[in-house]
Amino acid sequence: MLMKTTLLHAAGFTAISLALATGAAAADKNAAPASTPVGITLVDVTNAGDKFLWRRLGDATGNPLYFYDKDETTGKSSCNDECAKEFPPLLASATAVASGDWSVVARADGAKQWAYQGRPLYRYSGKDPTAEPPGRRGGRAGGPEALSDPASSVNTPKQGWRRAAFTPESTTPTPSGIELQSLAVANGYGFISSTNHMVTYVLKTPPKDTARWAPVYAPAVARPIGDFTLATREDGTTQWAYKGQRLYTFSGDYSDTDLNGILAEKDAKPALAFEHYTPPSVAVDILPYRGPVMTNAKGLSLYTVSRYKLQYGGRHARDGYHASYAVAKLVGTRGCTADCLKDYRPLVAPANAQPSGFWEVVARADGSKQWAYKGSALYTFAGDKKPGDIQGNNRHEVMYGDKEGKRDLSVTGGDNAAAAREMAGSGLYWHLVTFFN
Amino acid sequence: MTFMKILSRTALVAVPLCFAAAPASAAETRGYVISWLATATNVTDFKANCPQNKNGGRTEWTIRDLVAVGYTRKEAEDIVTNAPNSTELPADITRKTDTRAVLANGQHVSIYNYPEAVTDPNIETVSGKFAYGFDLGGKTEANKFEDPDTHSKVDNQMWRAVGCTESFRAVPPVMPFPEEVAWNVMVDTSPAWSLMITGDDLSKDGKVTLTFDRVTQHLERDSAGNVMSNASYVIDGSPKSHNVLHGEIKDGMLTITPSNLYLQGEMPYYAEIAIRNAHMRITQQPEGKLLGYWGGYVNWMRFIYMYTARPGNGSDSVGLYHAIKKLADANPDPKTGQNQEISTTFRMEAVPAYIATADGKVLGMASAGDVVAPAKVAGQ
Repeated sequence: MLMKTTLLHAAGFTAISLALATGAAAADKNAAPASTPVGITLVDVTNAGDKFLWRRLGDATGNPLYFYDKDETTGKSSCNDECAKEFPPLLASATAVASGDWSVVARADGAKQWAYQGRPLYRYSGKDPTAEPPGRRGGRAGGPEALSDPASSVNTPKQGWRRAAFTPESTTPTPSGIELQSLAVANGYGFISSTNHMVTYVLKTPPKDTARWAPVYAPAVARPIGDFTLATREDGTTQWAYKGQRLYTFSGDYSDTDLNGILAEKDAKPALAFEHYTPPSVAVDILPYRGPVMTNAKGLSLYTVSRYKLQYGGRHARDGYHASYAVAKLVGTRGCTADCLKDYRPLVAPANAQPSGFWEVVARADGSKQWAYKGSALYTFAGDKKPGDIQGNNRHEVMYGDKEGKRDLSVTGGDNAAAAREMAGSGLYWHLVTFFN
Repeated sequence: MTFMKILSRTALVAVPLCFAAAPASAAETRGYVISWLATATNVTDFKANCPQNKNGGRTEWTIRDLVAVGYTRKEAEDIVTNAPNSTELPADITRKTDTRAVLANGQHVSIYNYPEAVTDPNIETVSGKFAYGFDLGGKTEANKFEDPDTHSKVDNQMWRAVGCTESFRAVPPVMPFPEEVAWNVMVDTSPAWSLMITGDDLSKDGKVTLTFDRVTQHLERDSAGNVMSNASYVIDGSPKSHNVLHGEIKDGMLTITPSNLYLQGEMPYYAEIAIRNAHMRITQQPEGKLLGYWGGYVNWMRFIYMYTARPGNGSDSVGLYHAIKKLADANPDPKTGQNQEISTTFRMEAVPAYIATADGKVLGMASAGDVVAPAKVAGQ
């Protein structure tokens, strides 16, 4: 299913709802393919300050996937027998279909294995190396160099192996002046103008308000490349087109995290190379003065709970507050149990839910399944009654320990005596799902 | 208590809370944004407030922490003297002091997250006579202060707990240090709070309505770095920080019918401003700014969390934790009997602002420039 826009009127807001890719085969030939097959996840690698470094591939539970350096030249798996016991191949189902950067390779024993950009994928049978989760003021994780290197010791258990990075930009040709970039608000990887770093849009028909829509011009000597072709405008100038639809930028966008063009023109869509999977029960509303808000299918806001982190300012900026994947997983479903569940209700995943992209399925203590986005379990808030309500946002839960030691502070990290000063402020913080690249 | 005595104690030039005259038949609404909000301090007579002067500053409580983990006083003083500054002690020593909280099983844990497991250092608390505040109905007479402006008996156990701590020896416009740091970041990064005052004729005494909201923008600064007057703000439609209070203007002073107030905050400033049984008194300054006090009961644990979450940030946070807990004076926990709330007073300032809805309707007009001459005051 492609993105579509629907005007909603709720709580005095004019909200735009985006129905996002569900992983179903696209009927529209211009639809962006899914970024990952079912069962393969994407995980952001961040440094101690939660700054994004790169994106890696993960299995269904987010565990790292690896490339084998010896496979690189052959494109087929060189890891069999004992090697495969140590690094089990990421097997593909019998019905798995290759698409784009994703291929299926046949192993020596006849099994099928997923490969990304021609490189077979593997898990590790032991404990994956991890950098220490960041503290509240920056942790003691490996330095930026080690974290940024998929082959470093913090990223791989063995020499000759490296963590599999998600690098769509390396196989997506773009013309000069256009870049491929992760666009969280558009839920995928899209094209931005190198000139002004604005999102580019495709429109089936010329925009009505030409003053606000700027064509992405191509130089006179430009040649088509990849899915980019050239269209001659009425005035003789040349404009880039993507998959047959002309490209524009919108003057109401002020950064590459804006997507205001879809509010201005009915058939405007961001030009996406890949679209991330989103569960059918999830949507995104764009609320005036707030921007994109992730909601359930009924339009109720979705929230995550993170460990409290010392951060001066910016919590309410669009991408102003988020937890690292590692910390999100540490909190997991423990972030809300018992009495908390009266206020925050898990976003239930159906029994047949499959992880993909940024979405995982996590099990709660009672056996029920819950959706998690970028490692954080998702909830609605009981005090929200209608679309546009965000009563559950920006709430702190203070959790001091008791002198008997009965209260478990491991969920907040407050029990970390070795980093007493760094981990001061034992508590949890509830907030709307953050869209960050 | 005459109006003139209020003027002399606070050095305010309080004019009657009046505005440009409006047609008699039309109600009017003036808009403001809260430009300053912090614990109300009264430090004019430190000796009277804290006769023992035993809390000291950062150096002293660092020495106390070192003594608490076994150093002699002399050893502790030497360690502090030899440190680059009193806060940058060698890591192994800091680790000792930071984990001197001991659980029942002997395990050492963080003092900031387990303050209950730290021996109460019994910091000195205020024993002076004066503190800003309101009579919240507290039953213990011995706990009451006298308000330096109104001379009424008031409840402000928060000031009693914090008033002998160095970082609270702040004279406005300076805030207590931890609040100052966080507030000045908030000014530039966090949604502001708006206040609209509505009445039939704000140039006269009468009933008014106060409407508090959160807005979508952060406060704007002027060229001098202060919060700008007459800027425009859009109300955040979320009702979470929407409060409608009722009050009256009488003899230049706006007070409210006690009510509850909830405003979303942002850590490491206050997580929220949540005042139960909130009282207010507000006056207008010649330039149109509002100045006043809010008092009521706040959850003591959520207050001190602001401090324990930022170790060393201008306070002996563990000492304050125990002091505030001991002096909490309302809303006992039915199981433990521990009071969960403490009487508190905030000092506030607000500057005129245009307050509008998201669809462009201006609800509150800025009032700067519309001040009229002070009315005649009784006793003047």
